[in-house]
Amino acid sequence: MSASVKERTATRTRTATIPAQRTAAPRETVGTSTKKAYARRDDRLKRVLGTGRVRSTRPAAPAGRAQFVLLVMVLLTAGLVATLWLSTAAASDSYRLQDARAAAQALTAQSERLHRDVAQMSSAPALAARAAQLGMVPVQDPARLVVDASGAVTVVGEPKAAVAPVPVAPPAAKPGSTPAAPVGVTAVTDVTDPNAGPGGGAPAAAQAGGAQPPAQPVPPAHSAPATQSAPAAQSAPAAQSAPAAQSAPAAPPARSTPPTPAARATGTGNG
Amino acid sequence: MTTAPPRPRSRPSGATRSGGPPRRPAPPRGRLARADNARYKIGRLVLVAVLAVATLKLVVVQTVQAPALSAASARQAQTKIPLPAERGPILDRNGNALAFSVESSAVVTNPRQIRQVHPTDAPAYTAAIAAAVAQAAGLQQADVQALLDKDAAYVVLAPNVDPDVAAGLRKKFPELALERREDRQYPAGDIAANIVGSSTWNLDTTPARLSGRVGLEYSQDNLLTGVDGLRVVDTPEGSNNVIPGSQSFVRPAVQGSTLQLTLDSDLQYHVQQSLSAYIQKSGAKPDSSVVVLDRRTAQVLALATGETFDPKNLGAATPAQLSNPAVSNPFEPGSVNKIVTMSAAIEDGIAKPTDVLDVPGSIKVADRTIHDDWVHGLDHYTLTGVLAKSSNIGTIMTAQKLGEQRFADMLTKFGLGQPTGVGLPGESAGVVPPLSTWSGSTFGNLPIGQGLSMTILQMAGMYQAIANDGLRIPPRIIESTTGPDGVRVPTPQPPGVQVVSPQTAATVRQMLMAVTQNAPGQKGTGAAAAVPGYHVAGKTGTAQQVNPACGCYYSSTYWITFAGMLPEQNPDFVVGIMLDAPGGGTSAAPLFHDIASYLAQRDKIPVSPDPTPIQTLQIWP
Repeated sequence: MSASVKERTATRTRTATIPAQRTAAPRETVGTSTKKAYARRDDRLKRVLGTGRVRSTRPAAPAGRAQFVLLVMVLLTAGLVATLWLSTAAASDSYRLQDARAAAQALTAQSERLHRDVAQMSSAPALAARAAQLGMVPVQDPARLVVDASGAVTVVGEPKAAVAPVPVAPPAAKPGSTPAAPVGVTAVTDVTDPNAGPGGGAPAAAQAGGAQPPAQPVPPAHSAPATQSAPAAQSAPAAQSAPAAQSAPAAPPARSTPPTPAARATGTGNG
Repeated sequence: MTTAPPRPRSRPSGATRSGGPPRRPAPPRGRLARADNARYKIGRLVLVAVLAVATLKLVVVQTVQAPALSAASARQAQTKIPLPAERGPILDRNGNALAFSVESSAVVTNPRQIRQVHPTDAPAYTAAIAAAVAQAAGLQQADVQALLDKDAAYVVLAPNVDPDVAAGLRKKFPELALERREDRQYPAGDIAANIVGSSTWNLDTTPARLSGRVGLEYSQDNLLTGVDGLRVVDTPEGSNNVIPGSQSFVRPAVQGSTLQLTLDSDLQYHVQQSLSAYIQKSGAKPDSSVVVLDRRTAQVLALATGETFDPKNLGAATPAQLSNPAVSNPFEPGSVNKIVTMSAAIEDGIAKPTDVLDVPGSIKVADRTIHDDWVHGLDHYTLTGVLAKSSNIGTIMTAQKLGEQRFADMLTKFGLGQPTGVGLPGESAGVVPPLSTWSGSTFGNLPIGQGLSMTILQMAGMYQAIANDGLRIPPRIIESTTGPDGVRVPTPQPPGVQVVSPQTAATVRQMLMAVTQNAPGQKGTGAAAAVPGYHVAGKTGTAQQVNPACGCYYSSTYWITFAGMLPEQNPDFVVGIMLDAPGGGTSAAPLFHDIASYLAQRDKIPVSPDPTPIQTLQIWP
């Protein structure tokens, strides 16, 4: 409040000085009271312009204070403007942040979806299905070429065409009748036993749908007993027949006399 | 300001003195001034009183009521936003995901409110919602419509919709609301489902989260579930928008740990396919199982059972499908157990593989007479022949030389009767009768694998010991866990048990190789297991099953087993197979061949340069 009054006073004083300077020359011609007034004005003028002696410190104060007040006002205004600007900027930034968040979320969702798709398509069942679609067939017992130190190549195993497995578990597949084409299982004895090989075997068993016509005789299905009888016939009678009979060797002894305590023990084990 | 008051007073006074006109006449003094003074006094008193009241109120508000008021204000303005922790994924040994989580949204709504808001066009409007939701979530429109027609205040129209798709739905139909969910993905479908298990969204926990229901998802739930975080922010009332910079507290979520299994999903797939195909073919029960172990570390590379389930559709699975019989159902191993007698006999120097045994047609143990599977008179088998032809009598003769105590010790050393600690829930220890409870005939049963039971892991573990130069390492299925700090912690390999010496193990491996040999007159029982170009060591087994009705053995229901390793000299893999009650005459050897052939191809195992040596099994007269 007082600051504005003072400022007004100062301004008035300053504008008054300009005509005073111009009319400085005819000063001698006027009377004493007027002289006094002029002297006072000069004094004031000196004080304001700072020309004459700066002896009195008190009159200098109003000018410094005005500057200070001006500075404070400028600072306050600047602060106000800055605050306004910052808060608007913050608000607009928060909108941009929101948009960016939304965009990031959308991208995350997309990346998750892609990640999921990749994981699904690169999983073993999906790859197997795709390979089967492309007509690829899992190979059984491939023949291998072994190169020895001298560079000679020997064939280990017997090369034969891979057979497409019949789609696993076709609903209502004849369970008891002729087992369909080898479902991933071939009679290995055929391959290793020269006697029971292509010549002696029974290469007649069912063939896989004809999708992949094998160039060679289709290996007989596992349960075809014909192949098993071949080696058995030429060997001693004791080496009996099909592995079916042999693969159940450990059973009978216990069958004759079921051991009761043991049976009880396993009974609990199973429970 | 403090210096200001004196100046205006001095300036006008100076001006007056210098002759300027007075700005304001001096106020009149006297009676009027006295009245003013009294008024001022009263005014002051009133002001002071008001001030005192205000101060008092201020003190009350600031001290007495402060906690309640600030709590009320916080209630109004602050919102606690949970930061959900994502459930950790389950990976196979190569880093392929077997289970992982993705963000999803559940689309929920209030059907009653929809009818209130749309009193006239409700049917058409709900039909539009049903169509859009069904299309977005891949559901049947009729199902969604049925939910919308319910007289309920809350229905979940679609439990798992992609968040962005769900947001689009909500934009279109403001009556829909979205709830954050986590959708568990099982990219491999039913592959290893019995092991990995399944987890579903659990509304009973607070906050609702994915909870493991079966398998490792259930048993490792604490590890997989992280700890939810919390964020406290200010929100304008009735809005979810966060006031910028108002976050007063935040505790970040601790994500769930990653579980890496020792399984190889490709191998698991192949084994599972082969097993189910073989079960189909042989008519075995679905609890038949196959395990593939890494020989050196005894890590489980594949563990398959005949029956599995779709982890995404837990409700449709039967309890039998959800179980994991490979660890929970022990069985009697049959002749596979003869390896115990043979290893001990070789280790103790009681017999050599080439020793010839005069094996009679039957043997009497206590009050029981035990026969071989085939009828014969007095035959002459080598010890290798006894194993390769699976002679019960020859085995019992050898076991008797060994003694009951030593035999019982060997069973323990081979890990029978004690759980392996593989890391899967519900593992059975199997049953081995303690030596003190043995009757006279028990020792006629145990050497041939009857009267004791084991899981397929224990069975494969026995052969792992032989494959690993006598050092048995209990199998493990969890390879490592990776915590939220990203540090991978491998599961420590359990201490091994040296069952037999490396020399003995090599000798037994060679004897086991004779099982798969197919020479005229010298044919082993597992010839079908042979893989061309490789030396395969293994053992067939057949055990009668127990009839719980009479506590006796069935005459024609068997557990058909096979345990083997490939290649014989320096095995990489150990495979255990158990078929539960397959059709008559079924052998597990062809299934072993199938798996072993795949393993040899996949891991490019070098072929054995020399053909499989023919060992003498039987001395023909």
